[in-house]
Amino acid sequence: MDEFITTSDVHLYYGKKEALKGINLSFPAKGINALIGPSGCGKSTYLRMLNRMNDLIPQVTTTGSVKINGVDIYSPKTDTVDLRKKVGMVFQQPNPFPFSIYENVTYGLRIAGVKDKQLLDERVEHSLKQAAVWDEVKDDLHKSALSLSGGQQQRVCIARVLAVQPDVILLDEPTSALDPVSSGLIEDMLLTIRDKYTIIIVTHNLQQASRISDRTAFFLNGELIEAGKTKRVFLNPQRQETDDYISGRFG
Amino acid sequence: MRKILERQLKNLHQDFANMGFDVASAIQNAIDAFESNDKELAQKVIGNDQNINEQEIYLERKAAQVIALQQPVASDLRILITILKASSDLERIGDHAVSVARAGLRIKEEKKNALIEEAISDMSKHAYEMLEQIIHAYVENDEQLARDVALSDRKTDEYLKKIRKEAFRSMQNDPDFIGSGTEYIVVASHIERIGDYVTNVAEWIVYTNTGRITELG
Repeated sequence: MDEFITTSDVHLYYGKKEALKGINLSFPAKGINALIGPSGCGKSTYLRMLNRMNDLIPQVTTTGSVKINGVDIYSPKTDTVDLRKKVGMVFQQPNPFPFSIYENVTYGLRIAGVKDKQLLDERVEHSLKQAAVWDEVKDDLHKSALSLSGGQQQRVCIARVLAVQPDVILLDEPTSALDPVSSGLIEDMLLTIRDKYTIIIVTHNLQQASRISDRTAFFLNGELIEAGKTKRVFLNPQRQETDDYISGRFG
Repeated sequence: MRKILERQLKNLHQDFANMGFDVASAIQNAIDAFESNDKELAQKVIGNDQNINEQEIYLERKAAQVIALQQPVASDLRILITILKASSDLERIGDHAVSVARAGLRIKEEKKNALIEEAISDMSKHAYEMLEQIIHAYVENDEQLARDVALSDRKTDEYLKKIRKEAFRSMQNDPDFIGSGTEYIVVASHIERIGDYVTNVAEWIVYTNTGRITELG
């Protein structure tokens, strides 16, 4: 299997506390990967390694290598703005900018200097369609994104990521602040775009992980316990800790 | 999020029905082979049983996967339980078809009994129709049809009694007939078991619809 993202011996320290204890984990191009594990296990920290969001946190030190499409993203040559264009991120709380829906979706493109109105219009429509929110907002594109419901805001945030045509989409518990119907819409939407992007989703919702992901990685106390095809991990986990966690015996 | 589950259930439904059709044609061929003493056809039934067994394993594996990954509840879960249980019943029906084909091969041409053969022929036609109807009831999710099919299993029991009686009578009259007579009883017993398994499938169709585990027939 061709690996698109390869992380080798990744350690991360918050000050003296070791939050990631040597993670070796790879992801093939395209498809949905779920990161699961109890709170504080390091899965979100690991996710943020993949587009260098941890750089923004003081006193963080990291070692090891993170390669995306063969390129070491922790090399001094890496431009983090470029990186985050290729590796987009969606957070737990929908965080639309306090602009119109249209400006939210085009934000990344405008930063990149795109001025062609027709291209911007096309991208807005395409991205909102991919994010399964177009039909709900197409008549209100110039209304504030903050006027939307939480579920709609989250899908607009996903459209904002899609608009810059990333290779990788990182989602950090994207549905845990949403109602079940909105969560379902986002899950369905992820399934429709799984063939085009490498999607990595951190989720506390094990049902969500099992329902939609192709592969699952289980983290515990800063270590990677087990990773593999979701059907294998959920039907026949190799490690007792995994079995205990997904069966709800702890965590 | 129902999309995947719905698609998987639909595929399983189709695969189960296909297995049913394969088992039905195994019975049909076994009976044809028995009636026409067609050794080649009998061998075909025996050889094809592996394929039926594999279909059962496939359905079991897939159903377990759907349960683990999609956590179905209520009617979705009942559909899966039905597939899991009823596919074993279909597989057993396939085994009985093989046994009928094998027994047919053992009966000597000169030691045949026309009366018994006719009764077995009628009995097996009835069993075949039961299976065909139950697959239909499954595909259409027709609970009433399933109940009717289960009820008609009485007829196979009556055929068995009749065949056994006639075979015993012939064996008493002609000790040379004991070999064939025994095989006739074996064949009829296998067909009678097919009727029982069809009844089991009917019970699972009722379960899918009502959530009640019932004893039919």
